[in-house]
Amino acid sequence: MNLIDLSSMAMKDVWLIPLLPFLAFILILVTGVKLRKISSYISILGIFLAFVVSAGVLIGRLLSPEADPYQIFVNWITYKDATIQLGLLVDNLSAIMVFFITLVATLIQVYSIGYMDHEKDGGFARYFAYMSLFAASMLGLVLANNLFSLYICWELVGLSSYLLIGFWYQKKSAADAAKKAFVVTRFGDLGLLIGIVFLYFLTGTTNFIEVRDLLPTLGAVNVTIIALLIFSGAVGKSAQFPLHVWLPDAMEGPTPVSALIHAATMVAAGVYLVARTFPIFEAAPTAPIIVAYIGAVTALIAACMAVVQVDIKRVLAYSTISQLGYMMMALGAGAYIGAMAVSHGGASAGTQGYVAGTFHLVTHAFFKALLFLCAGSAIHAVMSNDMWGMGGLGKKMPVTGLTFLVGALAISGIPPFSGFFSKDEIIATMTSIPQHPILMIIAFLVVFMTAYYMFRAYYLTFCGEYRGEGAPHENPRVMTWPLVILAAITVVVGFVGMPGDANMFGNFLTAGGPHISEHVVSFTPMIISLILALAGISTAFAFYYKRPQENEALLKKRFSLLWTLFDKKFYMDDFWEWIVRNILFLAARVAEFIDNYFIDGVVNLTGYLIGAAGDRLRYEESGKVQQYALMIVIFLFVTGLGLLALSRFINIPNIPFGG
Amino acid sequence: MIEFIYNCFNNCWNFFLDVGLVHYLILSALIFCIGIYGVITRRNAITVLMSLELMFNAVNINFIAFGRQLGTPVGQVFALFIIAVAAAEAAVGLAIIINIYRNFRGVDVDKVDLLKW
Amino acid sequence: MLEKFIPISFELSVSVLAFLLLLLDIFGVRSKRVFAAVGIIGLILTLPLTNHMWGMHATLFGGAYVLDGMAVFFKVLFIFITLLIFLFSLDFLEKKFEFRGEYYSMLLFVCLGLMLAVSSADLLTLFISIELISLPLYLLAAFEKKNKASSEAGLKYFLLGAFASAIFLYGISMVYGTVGSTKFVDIITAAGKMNLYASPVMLLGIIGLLTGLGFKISASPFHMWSPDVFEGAPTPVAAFISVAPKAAGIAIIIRLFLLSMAAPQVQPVWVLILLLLSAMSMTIGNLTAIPQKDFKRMLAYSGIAQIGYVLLALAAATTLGIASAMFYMILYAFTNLGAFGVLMLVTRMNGSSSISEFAGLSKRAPALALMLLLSLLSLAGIPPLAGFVGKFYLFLAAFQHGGLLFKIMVLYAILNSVVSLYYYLGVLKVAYFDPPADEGTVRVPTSSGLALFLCGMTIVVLGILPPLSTWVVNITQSMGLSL
Repeated sequence: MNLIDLSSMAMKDVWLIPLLPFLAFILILVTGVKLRKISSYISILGIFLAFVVSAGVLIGRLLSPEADPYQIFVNWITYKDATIQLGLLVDNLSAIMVFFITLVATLIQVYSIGYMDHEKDGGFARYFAYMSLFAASMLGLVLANNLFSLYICWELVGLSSYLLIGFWYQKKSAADAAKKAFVVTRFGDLGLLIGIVFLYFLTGTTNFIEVRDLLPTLGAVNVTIIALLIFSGAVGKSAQFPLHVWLPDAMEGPTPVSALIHAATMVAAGVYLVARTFPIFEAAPTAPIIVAYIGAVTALIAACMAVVQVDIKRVLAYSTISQLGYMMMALGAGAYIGAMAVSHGGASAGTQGYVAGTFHLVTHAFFKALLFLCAGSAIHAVMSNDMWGMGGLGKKMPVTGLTFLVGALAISGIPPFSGFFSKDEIIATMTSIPQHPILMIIAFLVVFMTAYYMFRAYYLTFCGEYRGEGAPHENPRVMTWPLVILAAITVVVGFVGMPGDANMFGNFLTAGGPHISEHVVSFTPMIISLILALAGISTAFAFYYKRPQENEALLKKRFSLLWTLFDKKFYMDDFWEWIVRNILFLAARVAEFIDNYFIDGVVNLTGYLIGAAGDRLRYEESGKVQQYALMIVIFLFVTGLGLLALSRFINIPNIPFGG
Repeated sequence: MIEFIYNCFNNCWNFFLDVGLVHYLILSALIFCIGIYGVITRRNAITVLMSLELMFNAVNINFIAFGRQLGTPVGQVFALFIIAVAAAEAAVGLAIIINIYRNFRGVDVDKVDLLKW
Repeated sequence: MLEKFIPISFELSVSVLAFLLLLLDIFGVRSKRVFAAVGIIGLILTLPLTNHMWGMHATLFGGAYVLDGMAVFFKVLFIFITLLIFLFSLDFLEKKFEFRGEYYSMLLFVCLGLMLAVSSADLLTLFISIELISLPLYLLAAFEKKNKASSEAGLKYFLLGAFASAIFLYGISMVYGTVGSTKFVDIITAAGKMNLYASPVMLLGIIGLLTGLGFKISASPFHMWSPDVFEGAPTPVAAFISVAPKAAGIAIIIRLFLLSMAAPQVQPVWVLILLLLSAMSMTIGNLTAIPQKDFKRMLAYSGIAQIGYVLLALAAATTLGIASAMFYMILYAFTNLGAFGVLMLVTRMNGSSSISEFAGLSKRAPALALMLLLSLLSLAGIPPLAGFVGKFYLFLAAFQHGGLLFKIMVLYAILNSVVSLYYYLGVLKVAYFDPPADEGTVRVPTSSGLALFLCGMTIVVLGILPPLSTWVVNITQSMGLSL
């Protein structure tokens, strides 16, 4: 039994990956909410076993990266030629995704044992049931081999996200936030569904591999429409402008949920979707640049809003939006380059952006989960989200402080940490499209702002004097160990994506496809971004290391206009509210009128008639057995005579049924 | 005219003279209809049961007649089976009727109408 | 030597089991649990026999008995139904009527009759097995001897059943007279040469046969016994009557009409009758179910309507029609038993079966309420439950026939399913929104809980994994049918 055998075994059992957490979900549901600790063990066991299988799968792909993708599927619905599959696809991309999702999910679930300790009996088990459901659907999503399967899991992920955001449903703000998340993402999902159906209509399949081969036959306009519709799904799920408004509110959920779902995995589903359907974007001439610009706008405005937040989780939420925008920007730019190359007759060349976006997705998952868990650790100790109620926690909670610092350095893009490498890839992609200098400028600007707001949060929370109440202390080991592990991963994971030809990540991801375009490692953008990051850190140090209150008041006064704009979230929430109040409500009133007086009238009349008929027929059942027999005799008599007469007039084999 | 009446008379005479399959079928149909009539109109459960037996026996006549006509033993075998099953049916029926008598103090089928609507 | 018995091994083992239970009764075993346990274990032990029979095509007893894919399919279904009824009865009998040992063995005899019926390839065998189904069921319906309603149900079931049997026999005699044989194989050849204009006797035969079978499946207008019998009979028996004879009846219609009388000389006749029965069943079933106050009566009418949908697919007389009807019978069995099972647990104590008993069930027993929800929504045909897929295939089969009449009927059937939502949701409204009359929680005993869990899983799994329905198509194709 060597490694190859083991990994090929894992590959055959890939269906276990989503199934195990799902079984855990069912088991917790069935055994009821009475089991307290045991429910968490069931859940963790499920996700951990899934992790083991995923590791086997990843090893299998690493050993033979150029092998054909492995698919298993059942024909779910078959009607004539049309078939809808339920199936799993393992290629290098999904192998990486399941590996890091199961890894992060395992760590976060372990952490949750400590964090959710205060929950009442029922809540504890419910939490773990939802977490398992989420894990199962997310794993199903990344492993799906066609867009229909993906869409099913996509909605399941949305559902579990809804359940977890509204986990503390007694709290009105939590319930509202859950509703908002569900409804806002629905806008995007609708587009996605239309796109899938449209694609199916044109090609007769939604299988990723078959679609890729059929793309050249579709025509540029169709592909562009499909690409944009698919992207609209990604906009909703990945909280891109203008549908980003739900993500900050989603922080009402428990912090580990924010870490797992609203930072590391679910919101990455949109980015993953774009990466998965990357060939479609490459084949569409104008769609990629729209993706890139939406990503850029998102990255910029979210970074702006992050600067003024007081709630530590909201800082992280906006930072997540901003980073997701960054990834979208990379994917869009990559697909744009690819599309340009294709239109000039060259082979697909968009791999750099593709690799950069995906790599940032992975590194971001680790360090953002780390940051959220650190924030959660601090919140759990202080019992408040407000950064002004923290401060000086670095001394009281050394592990949390240190690991948060690692995460903050990583996200700012300081060298040995992972964020540096992935960010550098993105910036390199941006610099390779001089036609769109704005993208590059935004990319650099966001680097500065990211460093600034992250260290603002760091200094406010972990440095200076403690401003809150009580005496916070370090959390139990079940919470700190996941932090340490994640921090360790954050430190080392960047090295798999060294720039240039030594980029193992890139080589692995694009193995078997067109080779990564030979790009020269240029040090200039790297150094510029490093300088900008350091500048951001220093600025934050200058303002917030000492006397933060006075300095912030000063900033507020000096930049009052911008500050208000950022603080009001660019009036995006108000914009949506205005639309809902004035346009949707008007439409609703008209619809209500028609519904009440016209449709309901018809419906009620029909209902009344049917009910009356039922009431009348009921009394045919008189209870007298001989009347029942009479009924049979009458039927015999009538059909007998009727058929006899019929057979006299029509030749029986010629009886038409109107065909 | 006279010829027509003669023909009718002659046909009728021949009908009764030459007993064949059709006669048995008509006989059985008559008995079957009498059975149906009994089942629908009689009030006494025992009489209803007897009417049912009449229906079964009408079918027996059919089978025997067809069997004879076709020259296969299947008809007779079938009739034997029907006799056996009808006996079992009667036993079950009588048991149920006795139970009805105990519960309703009578065997009037018309009065057994608690379950309705 | 033993191989010769393989095709009838199900029947052999079930009859041995039935006699064993009778013997237990004679030798003075008085514990119901022992009876039920022996029966359940015996039935489970017969299931592995399926392995030997799968894919087999055997004809025995001079062509009077046939074992093919469809027969095995229905036999396994009957074993499962009987097993579920045993599990339910175990808890239900505890509180109800004085126990007599023959209860379980009579259920097994019915099961034996059902198995023989789906394998019959001769009208004589068919008649005997139908009587074997009916006679114990008459007695089971009247099993609560001291209960007026139960004995009335027995009387009505018996009188009408015997009446329908006599008409069925009359039909058989007519078929025998026309064909000259009672074997299905002979009917197939004779049907191709028939001329109904010259000899209309066969018309009477077809009508008589369909009357007898229509009574078994409670198609309208032969349905009138079923609401009364369901209401009066003990609930497990009513549950059994509501699924098992119907499945057998559908199987017999498939074998006797769709497979043996497919020749165009006779086919239009029974297709017309089936369409008529289907239309009447859907209308009367759905409309009359609405004002019902009693849950068992409502389920009886709902069952009549469901049979209407199945007959519509059968009237199309295609392989898809057969496959979809078979698939529908599985899910109908499990779904209906699920609904009856919930009723049994809720009303175990007081014997009433009024819909108002469900008031506040979601608070008294959330699991039972969920089960009720699953079964009723499945009956109503709501995705993603099994009922939706089943109905979809039924309507598809009818629609593919292509005739205008069929298209109109499909439309009508869809409208009917909309109407049916009204009464299914009415029950769910009571269960979920009405305040409970009785605050106590409902205890769910292990055996019933297990049975309900099985039903619920089947409803959900068949609903989201319709590859199983392709599996049914494979069975029909293995029988050499590809239309």
